Amino acid sequence: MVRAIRHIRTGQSPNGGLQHRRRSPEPSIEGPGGTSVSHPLATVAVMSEVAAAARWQAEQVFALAPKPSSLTAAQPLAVPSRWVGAGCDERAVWGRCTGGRAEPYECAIDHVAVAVRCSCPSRVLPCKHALALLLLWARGQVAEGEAPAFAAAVVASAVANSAKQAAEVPEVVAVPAPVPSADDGDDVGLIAPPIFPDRDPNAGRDNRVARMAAGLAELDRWLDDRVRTGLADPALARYSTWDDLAARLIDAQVGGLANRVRRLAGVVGAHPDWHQQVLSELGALHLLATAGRQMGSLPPPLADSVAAAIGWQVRQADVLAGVPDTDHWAVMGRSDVREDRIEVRRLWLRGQTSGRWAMMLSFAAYGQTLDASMMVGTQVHADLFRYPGALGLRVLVGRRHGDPAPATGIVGCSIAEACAQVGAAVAAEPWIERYPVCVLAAPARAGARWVLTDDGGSLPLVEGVTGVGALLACSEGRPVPITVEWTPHGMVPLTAHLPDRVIDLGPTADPSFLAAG
Amino acid sequence: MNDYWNEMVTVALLGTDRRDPPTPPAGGLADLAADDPRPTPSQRLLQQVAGCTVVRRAGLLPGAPVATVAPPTHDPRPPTPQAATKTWRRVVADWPLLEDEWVLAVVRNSRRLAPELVPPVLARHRTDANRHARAMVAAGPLGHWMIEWSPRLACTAKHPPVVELLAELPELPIVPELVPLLSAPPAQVARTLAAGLSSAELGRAHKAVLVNLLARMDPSSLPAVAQAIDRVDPSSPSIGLAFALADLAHLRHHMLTELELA
Repeated sequence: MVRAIRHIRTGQSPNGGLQHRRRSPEPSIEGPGGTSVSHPLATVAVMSEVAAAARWQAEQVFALAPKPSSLTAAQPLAVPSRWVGAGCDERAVWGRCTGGRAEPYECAIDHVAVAVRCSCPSRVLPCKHALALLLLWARGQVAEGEAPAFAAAVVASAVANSAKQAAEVPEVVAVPAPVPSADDGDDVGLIAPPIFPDRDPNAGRDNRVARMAAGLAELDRWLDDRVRTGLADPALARYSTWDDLAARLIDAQVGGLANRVRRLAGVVGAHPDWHQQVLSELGALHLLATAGRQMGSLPPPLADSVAAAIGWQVRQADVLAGVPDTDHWAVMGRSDVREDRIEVRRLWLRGQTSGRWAMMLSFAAYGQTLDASMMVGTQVHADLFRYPGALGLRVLVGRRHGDPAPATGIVGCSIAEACAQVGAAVAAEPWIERYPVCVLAAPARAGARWVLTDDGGSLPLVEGVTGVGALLACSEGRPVPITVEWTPHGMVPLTAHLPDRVIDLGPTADPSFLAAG
Repeated sequence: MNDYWNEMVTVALLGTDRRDPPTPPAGGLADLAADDPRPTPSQRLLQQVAGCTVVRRAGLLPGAPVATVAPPTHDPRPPTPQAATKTWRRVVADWPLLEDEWVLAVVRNSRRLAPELVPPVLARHRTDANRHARAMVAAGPLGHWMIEWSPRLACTAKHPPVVELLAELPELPIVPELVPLLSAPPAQVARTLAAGLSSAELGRAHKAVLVNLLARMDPSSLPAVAQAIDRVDPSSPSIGLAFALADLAHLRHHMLTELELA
């Protein structure tokens, strides 16, 4: 029977199967009383049920929040000290949240079927306790264990719901298929596993793709309106103009574009050249909107890049199932950037042998901590797993083969070579917003602006960026290897690699936003 | 390309309802427009803006080389060790009242500020003439050089520094009953504080004066005091205060020993 369910999930039928027709219900999130609510993410979860159950990423939890305030309320609870008996297995995560009440709330989540049950009185689904528990789990702060009764009940209920939905099949179209013998046993199933066209995981994917396509089409219409009426339109100065669009893009599950749109709201009127910056970004958005609607005709790596840029999440388990990229990875730079309500840390790694770049991302909402497992200036022998994409920059760290050691032999390229590297990266993924290079250059003044210069040329630094003073002081105006992050607005200095020390110059997260780490 | 881009910015500002987009220059962008003709001016403009943006970004070229700046005068003093940079950040974040002593210790140990610390230390004290002057001594020639290139690091205080105060720590208020502990033998200080904290005679209300006492007591007493406070009964109501005081004592001892020359 178990296998039969798996066949349903994968849409595979080893023996031809039976064709069933039924209306596909959205996967449900179960409330305190077993009531169900629909959530888009659940579709994605069901699609991936067959994959090895793996921890969610923080972004997936953020996406599950029914409203931003739920996430805000969940943050203070997403600390181990608020949970008693927290545990997880390959199907569920559970715990008892201590609070003002004498009795803690019992919370359990079936993270495969995305079913939630919490004993709190909240009618918001999922409640703040469930979100907090998921965040804790996503950060790896929940130990594996044996599910208690209340967690097992959630899983059983979710499985029963699935079985009930399967039993409600109204119409069965028989397809000639060899009937397995009784000797095959219960595991194989005496009845050929049914296939529900609408329960096919591709149906969920198709639904989501359709929503995304509609969102992209709306974005393009909006862009069209903007250039038709002109950037001087006073409506552009209103945050709501951008925020409304961003909200609609989130509804259409293209959250990556929503972030870019919200960032643009802060650019309007911010400096004299804001219209150039806004226009460039509108061009990049148009490019993504167009590419996103033609993903089927793009080469697979490019399609993966487009999907990632517009906000399609790839499960960690799928990434970790790839081929590892093993090397001694030097931690070349760090950059913390606040994006909306989340602090994002980028750690740039470079293979000492391959010379390839990789980027580790970590996220922290208010009161959380950013990943500090790798320090700038060190190197670690490790397996990295790359997310799919044309550049394949983003990685997950797999097995580490040794302890971190000071990174040695860091050399910088010329300014001209750096331009070539950036150009190649932009040609591969034209919408990227940052790319690292390590240059051997000196900070210098060109008029009112700081630049990095060598004998062959110069590159401007972003105006007002942090770290320029420290770079100038520690280099004393001499050429040193510097890791910088290219952005369309100039270079951001991240690290100065001096002969006797490494200076981390990258933008730092607001300490009042993060928990003491 | 720049002219074409500027024309597109102008059209985008006015809107394609008022002005048609410019014709792309011969080359790749013109080919793109010919390959995928768009029916409306706004769509044509968006297509050309997208193409032009990619070309401008992917075709990043170096600017002309710029003359490098002349380095500062050599400072023979050894810089503060790398670990001291972290300590300074902790001092500033957790116990800023120790910062004066930290800067003075740098100067007294004939060290100079590590280069990466010069901008933040100068920037932090630019409104306080005495502290800025003390930081300038610790920074050495690099400090003057930095101000030359980054004038915002210069002191903005209206009054000149008082030279007599530069080598002295600012006084902190300490209640008369505790003044004898400033110079008492380490064992006696440790005993007195530990007993007071264990019995809860010293509580949260005394935090400010006890912090001042620990920040100014003879540094040789610090290890013994920290050890004694570490052993305060965990069930004491003053255990939170004890933790804080022990942290202060440990940090002050650590920062002073760290800056000593080997």
